[in-house]
Amino acid sequence: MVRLGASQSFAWTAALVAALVLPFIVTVPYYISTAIFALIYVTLAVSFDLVVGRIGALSLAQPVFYGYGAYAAALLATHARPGPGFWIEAAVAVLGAPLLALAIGIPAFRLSLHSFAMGTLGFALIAQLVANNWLDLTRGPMCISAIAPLRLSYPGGVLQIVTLRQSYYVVLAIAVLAVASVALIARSRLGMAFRAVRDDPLLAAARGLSPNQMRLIAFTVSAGLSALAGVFAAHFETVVCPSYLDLGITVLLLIMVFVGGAGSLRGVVTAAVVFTIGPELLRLVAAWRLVLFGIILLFTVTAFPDGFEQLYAAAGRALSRRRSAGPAEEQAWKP
Amino acid sequence: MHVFIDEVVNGLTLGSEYALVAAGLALIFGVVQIVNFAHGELYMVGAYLLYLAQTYLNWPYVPAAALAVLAMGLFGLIFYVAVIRTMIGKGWQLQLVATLAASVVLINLAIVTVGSIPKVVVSPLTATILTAYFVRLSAQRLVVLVCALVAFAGLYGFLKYTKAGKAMRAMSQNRDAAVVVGIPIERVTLSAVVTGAMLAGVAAVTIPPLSNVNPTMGASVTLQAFAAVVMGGFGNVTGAIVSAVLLGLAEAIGIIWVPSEYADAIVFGVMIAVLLFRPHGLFGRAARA
Amino acid sequence: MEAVTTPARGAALEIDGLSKAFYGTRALDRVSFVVRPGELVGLIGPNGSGKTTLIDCVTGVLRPDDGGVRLDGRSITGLPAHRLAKRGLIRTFQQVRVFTSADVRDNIVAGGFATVLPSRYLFNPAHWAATAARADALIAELGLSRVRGTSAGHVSYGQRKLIEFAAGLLCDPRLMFLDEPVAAVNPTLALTMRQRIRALHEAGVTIVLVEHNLEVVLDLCERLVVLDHGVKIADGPPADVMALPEVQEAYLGR
Repeated sequence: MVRLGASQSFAWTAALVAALVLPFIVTVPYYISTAIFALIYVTLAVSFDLVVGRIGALSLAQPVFYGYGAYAAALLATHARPGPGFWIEAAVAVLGAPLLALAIGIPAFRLSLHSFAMGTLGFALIAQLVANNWLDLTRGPMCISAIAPLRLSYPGGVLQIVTLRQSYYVVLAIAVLAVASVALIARSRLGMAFRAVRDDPLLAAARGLSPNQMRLIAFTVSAGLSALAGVFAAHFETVVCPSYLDLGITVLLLIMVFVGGAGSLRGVVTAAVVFTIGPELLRLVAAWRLVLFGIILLFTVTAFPDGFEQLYAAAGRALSRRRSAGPAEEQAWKP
Repeated sequence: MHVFIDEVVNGLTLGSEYALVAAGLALIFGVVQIVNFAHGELYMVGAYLLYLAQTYLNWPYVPAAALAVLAMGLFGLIFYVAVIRTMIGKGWQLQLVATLAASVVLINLAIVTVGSIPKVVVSPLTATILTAYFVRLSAQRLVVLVCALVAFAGLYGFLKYTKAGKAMRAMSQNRDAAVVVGIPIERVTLSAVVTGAMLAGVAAVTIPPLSNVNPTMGASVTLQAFAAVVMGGFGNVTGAIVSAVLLGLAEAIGIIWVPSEYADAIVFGVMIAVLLFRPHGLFGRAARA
Repeated sequence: MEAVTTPARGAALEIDGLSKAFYGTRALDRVSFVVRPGELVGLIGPNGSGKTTLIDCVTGVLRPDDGGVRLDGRSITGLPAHRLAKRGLIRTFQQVRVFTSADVRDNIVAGGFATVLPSRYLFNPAHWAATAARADALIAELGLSRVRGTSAGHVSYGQRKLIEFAAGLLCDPRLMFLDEPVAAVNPTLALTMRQRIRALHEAGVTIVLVEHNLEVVLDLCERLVVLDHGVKIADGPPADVMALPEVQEAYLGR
């Protein structure tokens, strides 16, 4: 199993500390808002990477789980006021999304690689159609609105998540949970099983691993994490629309995974942050933004298929050459 | 009864549209195993080329259409160089993402250059109504069917009798053998992409006169074309064409009972159903390791 | 040399009328034979005679068009590969396969997935500790210590064959299909491999050995089954089989 090198542990710790103190250093509400979006996408991107990068299945259905979490929270919070609170909503999301994932995954994983991508796309489109047209449930394009703030109950009372700073810390906790979960899986025997199935499903099967079982596990965990992000987003934005299920989200997630480096936690987290904050900094019109994203994605995939991870790995090698006294850090695999 | 026949005709038109796009998609996949997510955007570009020829060059329909189809051949070349050529041999995930990226670029370039307001292209035959027994249909629909049939006949002849066509079939059946035998992979792939683009061009000049031209028109065809290619057995051009027509019919007839917003769902439902029973498609290839 | 597997009762294999065709060519044509527990049988034949196809059909990689397979009397026809691996039916690949993103040690430790239930992949430190210890012992014995931390994609072809064999051992095989284990391997490694195969045989594991190197085959195997163009043309003790005219013709070619 992989142990993090000293420099990597330091980098992660530093990043966490920076994230924890951010709202006290940066006080402009717009920037904190942007940081919140970045953290939502960090959660979505690392859970997406679990399927695309770590088990090697190109699923295009991630927004279905995000949307499920958002709509579930929205419905629970608006049908009874006050709503059942964060813990119940989270439970519905985290337990229900895997069921949805099984419903999609069990038939879809029987298909060959290309067909799997198409099949998941089909499910995503059907989900979007349902969101747009089942007016009784989702109010379609009119959206479910006036969602009350998140209510976190704890022994002794209920905390309402009203301020930006409070929201920031909630989503930070979710993002840390997602990153930690993926990291723990990666380091465990389960992660080893995932890598085996990704590298060579035939060989993995010959060694007693069921590729479909492993894929379903990755898929369901990924769904649960994304749904949790959806629960938060519903309360933060106070409105849930069919746009939560948009293909554009999939495109953005693909960029984050491939430009970040599929299977690389540090790469994907970096790309998630870069591609939420970047567009805000550049203030591009939506269409130009997408043209730029598309070109970046195309360029990355053709020229730098390992994305940011390539940069990180090169930096890592340069660092270990500097410290030529000790053994070079193992290049076995990324965390 | 009228409704039913109307929908059958609709279905055939729709099916032809899907089939022209699906055929190119299947051809490219067969030759170089790349799933071209941007294929629907080739259709969209062709339609815009027709619009530009009519609006800025002021050419009448037939010459404008011919120009657009030829220009699509050139665009196919550009597309090959920019996207396909660098992705040959890379992992299939990267390929899919690359073509998806190209699709995003094309759609949004259309939005920022020409605008997202739908544009109109005109054919003199749209207004002409043909009547026969119970059927009243716009002559343009007949044009669609005829052009599709001619295009497919041409494609069939091309694949069966020309050197390039035979090379494409060889590559599709056994890539490694084709390399060993000395088939020029890059040139054949280029021909396949250009052919696919021109087939999309034929669809692009015959169908939009019946509706309009807008940046996301490709998206509404891509998915059905994909479904057809998957159903037909990846890489199998005939299978793709037949499946596309079936899907078009299923969609048009299904709309009689199901709200039209769910049209896409019908198509995907059919595709998923077929795949569950025959994971390699209706006419699929034998199992590969 | 110590046998590294816990002494396992070798499994019995019955192959009954197995047929498989590709695009109209018959790769296997009603092939039948029996392998008794603990036997070391050689499966030989010219290139393209269907040996690897046979292994693929038996181990769940391909579905046979016709015929059946029984392991210890129970039908296993059409069962998926991972289920069979968990029952002790292990194979190596003709074109050697390793997990390229893992190092040598982890490739071998991965054999531990075959001997434990999926629900126990996690939270099972005892199993994995034992597996790791066995892997380390094997690495030392096979002379792979120097490359234990190297990515498996970067070691030599012969070393990859050893890795594949070691990983297979860690799956606690009861019947092992070895598909050309010494082909294109340098003589020292080949000798090591032959010794390990003999040790495995002595431990009681049933072995089916596919090899072109007749010297190895005649040295190790108690019995030979010969395939030619998908048809079984001989089945018996090595000396008898090699003397048959049809076998000599098959090898010397038409």
